[in-house]
This record gives sequence, C-alpha cells and structure tokens, in this order.
Amino acid sequence: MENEEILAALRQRDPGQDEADRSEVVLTKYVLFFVGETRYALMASQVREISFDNELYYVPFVPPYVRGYANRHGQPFTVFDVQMLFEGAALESGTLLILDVVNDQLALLITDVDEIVKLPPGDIHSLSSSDDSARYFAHSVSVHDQEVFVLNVDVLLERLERDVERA
Amino acid sequence: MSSGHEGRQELRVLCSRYGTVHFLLNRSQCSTSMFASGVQEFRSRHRYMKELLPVGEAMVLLLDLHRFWCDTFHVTTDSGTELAVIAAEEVFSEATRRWLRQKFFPQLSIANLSCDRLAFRIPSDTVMLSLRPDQLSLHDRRLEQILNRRGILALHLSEDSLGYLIDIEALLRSRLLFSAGCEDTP
Repeated sequence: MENEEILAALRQRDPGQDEADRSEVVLTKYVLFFVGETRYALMASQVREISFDNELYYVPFVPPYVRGYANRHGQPFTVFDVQMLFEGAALESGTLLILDVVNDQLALLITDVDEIVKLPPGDIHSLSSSDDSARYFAHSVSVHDQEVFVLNVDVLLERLERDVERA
Repeated sequence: MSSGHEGRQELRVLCSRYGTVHFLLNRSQCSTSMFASGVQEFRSRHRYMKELLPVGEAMVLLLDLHRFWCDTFHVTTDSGTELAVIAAEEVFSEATRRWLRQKFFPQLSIANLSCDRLAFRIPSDTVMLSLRPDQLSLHDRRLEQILNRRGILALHLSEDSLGYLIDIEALLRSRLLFSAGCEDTP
C-alpha cells in the first residue's frame, strides 16, 4: 500500500476529522471518581494528585465529614468525606484526591478513580435544580451517555466554615 | 521555648505515643513529673477527675489526661499510665490562676487539697523531646479556632506518626476535663 493510499484510506474512515481539528474546540479535562457507588467529577485543574493507602488521623470536635488529617510529605491535609456529608455514612477508604487549592491543603476521600476525560462544551451542562443539595455541584457533565455531577469545592468549604462557626 | 546550642529556638516537650498518634506537652507548662503512687480515689461524677495524688503533706488533684486522650482521639496504648506531670499555678496566666483559686478549687470541697498546682496522669513511657518550631504545623485555618480553644494547639508530623501539641491551660479553660463524658462532634 502506498503512502498516498494510506492517507486516502484514513481520510475516508474519518472524513470530518480535519474540519474538527481546524475548529479548535476547547476541551475541558475532568477527573471522574467513585465515592461508594456514586460517580462524581472534578475539573482536572483542581486535582494535584491521587494518593492510595493513606492513614487518616482522627480530629475531634470538628464536623463528622472532616475525617481527619492525612500526612502527605510531612504536611497535614484536611480530609473531606462527601459521602458522610451527603448520606451520613462514613466512607471506608484510604484513597485521596489531593486538591490543588491555593493556600490550602485539602483532600477528598474517594473509593477509586474512574477515568480522566476531555469534554467539549456541549457535554458540560449547567444545573437548574432548586434542590438544596444541588448547590454542592458546579455543573454536570455527560460521559458515555451518563450525567455526572461536578463537585463545587468552594461550596463544600463554605459549608465547613459555617458548621465550625456554629460549633 | 528555649534557645538551643546554635542560637535557634527550640521547644522542649513531653511526648506520649499511642500507636501512630502522639501527644506533646510543652515542658514549660510542666513543673515536674513523678511516679503516681499512693493515689486515692474520691467520689466524683466527672470522668477525668476522680483521683488525688499525695505530694508531701498535701493532696494534688490528679486529672486523667490519658483517659481523656483515649476517649477524645480514639487512641489506645499498651503502656501503663503511672506517670504524673505536675503543673504549678505559676505556669498559668493570671486569669487562669484566679479562676482556679477563686472558683474551681473551692467548689471541690476536698480536705487538704493543694490549691497551687494540678497533676495530670499520662503514659509511663512518655519521653522528653526537643523540637524546632518549624517542625510543628498549624491546623487547617478553618479548624484552628475550634481546636485551639480546646487546647489542641498545633500538629507535629513525623514519618510514621501525627502528633498534637496540647496546651494544658487552654484545655483546662475549655472545661473538657471536668465533663461527665466526652464532648466530641459539635
């Protein structure tokens, strides 16, 4: 098969590819992960690393969804358990998503990472629900025909500040 | 805090280990330590305040810091707990001294009770350490106030353990050691 034939065959297989490349669609990268059976997402720019087999150090007097501190490279990271926050049941896991938040050392307790995806704007949807719990999500994304909620870290932290102030 | 050999500030602490968790008491808040022998129990509804330690002619109130840590931080240790650290009132602020003398001790109505010091029961295998301040970490800023108010001042992270620097005076003022049970979540 000659090179020209190869190229022709490739173009025939995906005739719209060149146009797609030229349209410069901005893709946003998301990290999808499981918390128990529920799949959530975070923008990849908010995730610094995924860390396994962490020991959690219990911290008293704080809301129960703060599961304690994790020792990451000699620095304390506050571990947030969204399953405890949303469902009132502690997640049994040692897997952490270390978040990339300026001047903050935070981690989300998760069951496992699902996948990392790049999504076009058409797969990103704003939320219109008036449900109180919807405020914990920034938006949702469509992945493999399923809708996945993207956590809003700022709102989670606002909730923590409010709960601690009340204590 | 004191000054080390190279002019750097250092902190002398008593370190009590509970598996992968340890507790640090600032040596400047501990006047002396002694073997807790001849301890007498008295009737009390308080979980951590039911013992008296004979020191010379007087009886010193012995607060069970070990039990408080076990309850509050969900930790255990195989060590015995026959060590008592004594905090003389001089290590506390004027406000705390006044509160101890005018309100706290008088309400106990215990004969021959020393009103110028308190004792704290801690694990027998407690050791003395020197730390630099930069070996300690502050709490998450959102949690700092709630923990500081309860005497959990800062963190000490080592390779295999996480430590809590305990401020005895703040812990006293929180009244947690005088509770019937264990305050936990807010």
